[in-house]
Amino acid sequence: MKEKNVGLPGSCIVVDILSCGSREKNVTFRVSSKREDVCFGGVWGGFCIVGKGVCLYYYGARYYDARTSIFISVDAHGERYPDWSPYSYVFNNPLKYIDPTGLDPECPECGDAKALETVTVTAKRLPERNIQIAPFKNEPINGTPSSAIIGSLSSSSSRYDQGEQDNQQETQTGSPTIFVNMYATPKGFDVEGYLTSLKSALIANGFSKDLVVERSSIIGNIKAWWNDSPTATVTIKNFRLGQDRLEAGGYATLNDPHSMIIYNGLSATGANKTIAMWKYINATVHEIGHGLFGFDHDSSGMTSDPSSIMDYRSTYTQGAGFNGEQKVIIMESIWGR
Amino acid sequence: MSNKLIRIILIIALTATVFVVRLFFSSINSLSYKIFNAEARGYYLHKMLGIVPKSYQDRYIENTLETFGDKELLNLVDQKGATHSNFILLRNKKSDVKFLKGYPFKLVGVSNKSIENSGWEKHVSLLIDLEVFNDYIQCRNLSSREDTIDKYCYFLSNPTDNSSYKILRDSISLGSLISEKPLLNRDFIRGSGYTLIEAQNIDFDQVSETLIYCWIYNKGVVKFKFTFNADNTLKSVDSEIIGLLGNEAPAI
Repeated sequence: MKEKNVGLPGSCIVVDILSCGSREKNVTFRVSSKREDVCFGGVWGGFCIVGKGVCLYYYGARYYDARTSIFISVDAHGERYPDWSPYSYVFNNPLKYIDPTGLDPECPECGDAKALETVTVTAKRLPERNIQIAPFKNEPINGTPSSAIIGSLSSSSSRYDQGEQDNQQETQTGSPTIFVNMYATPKGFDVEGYLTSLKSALIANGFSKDLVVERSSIIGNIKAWWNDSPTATVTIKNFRLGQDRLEAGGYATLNDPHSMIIYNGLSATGANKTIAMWKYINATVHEIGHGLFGFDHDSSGMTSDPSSIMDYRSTYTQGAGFNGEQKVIIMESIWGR
Repeated sequence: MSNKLIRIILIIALTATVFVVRLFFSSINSLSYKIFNAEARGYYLHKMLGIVPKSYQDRYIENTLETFGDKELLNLVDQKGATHSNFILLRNKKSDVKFLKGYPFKLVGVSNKSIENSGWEKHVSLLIDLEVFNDYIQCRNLSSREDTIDKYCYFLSNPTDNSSYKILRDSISLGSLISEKPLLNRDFIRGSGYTLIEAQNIDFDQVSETLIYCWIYNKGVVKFKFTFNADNTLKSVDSEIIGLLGNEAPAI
């Protein structure tokens, strides 16, 4: 087995052994403390993308984003550490702990598990971050990934069938535009913050940088129509029992770009609750996946890729986003061009 | 001919035309139309004329669950709605269809007033039309109360997924549920704003022949109180959502 030392641009504070299923077989990459080295890139669907790519590292159960210093998905053993964010990396103390499996922090110096319990009890809860951090955020993928890479990505039950694109808009040339309708918006809901965060999250997930996200208005709609822009509509509203669908966070009809609804408080029981902005963003991105691209899950919310935002196991996970395969579909659609 | 008479004839002609158009269009997609017509979404003109929008046509996949006598029990699953909700119907050979389970409540004959009085925690038992349910259990000769209760819960789940509900009468059945379906969705449920409960807090002392708990994959633990008629048909059912354990999948 070959071994390489690979660092991140700038000071790298990650101390661990990283391995990934590189196309270059049997290679283990070691990231050393405070090394300045060539950014190797990241792990995408189990494969390393060489070059200035996204620095995601595969830790067995999860991927770690070195730029944000958190895992991009939730800890399967998160319930053991209730006072910590399920995304945090080794209690935010990488000098003391390591996490070779992505499941449980280990303390090589401590010698026993009691030290971990002490940390869990004494640690302060991390404040909930009110921003959307999507995997691959702000990391444009240069060009279209080769078919070999696409083929190598973990498969998903999400589907994209041109034949079912009943509402597919194909001829528009203007900036793609998402209109947001707000009904009975709860007090304190940060409308501008929502519009800005949604735009950033969607761009980070493969949408065009020209994407416009704005409150629905006659002028906006006329402008979009005049410019021949592809349009979609997201509605935020209070749930009304007996009239709205029984879904929890929202609703969308597959491939219907004007069907996306997000309920206030993200549940049928949550009207007028104000919750963390990233949860609204995640719910919206999830519904946009259904409504614009027909990405689907089964009736239990499962797909074959638990890290995708289309899978319930990740939908309300801060940092969740579309997977690589889904992003390719988005980038190649009128919403990504 | 007086102007008044002409107006009356015009109104009658217009009404008749609307009626004929409505009868024609709604008969093409009768089931889809019933569901579309019950929903809050959609244009009033479409509903009035019986027109079913394209997004509702061929939207539902029909599965026959049981056939008995001149009747059949159908499960209708929404293929275009991302949550794939389902409807249970009882159809006779004359093609008369009644909704046994459905939402919006209008489909099962529940008035808005009942909904206002119930609220979210108590809405589950409104999803089943007791008259149609009783019709079903009489046709099937279900005499045991336990079988009736089991069927009731079965219909509340999606029958195309046979693992999607479990009747809980004691802590053993609860333990079995959790070992079959570990509590892995707690983060998702916490994120969605629902009430999470601890398994040990479910009070099984209340359980009796007519009071049970039922775990349903998209609703959580629901307490049901059944009241039976003398012939063992159901007189009424009260339900209350206790909370979610952490292995459910409330839809989004």
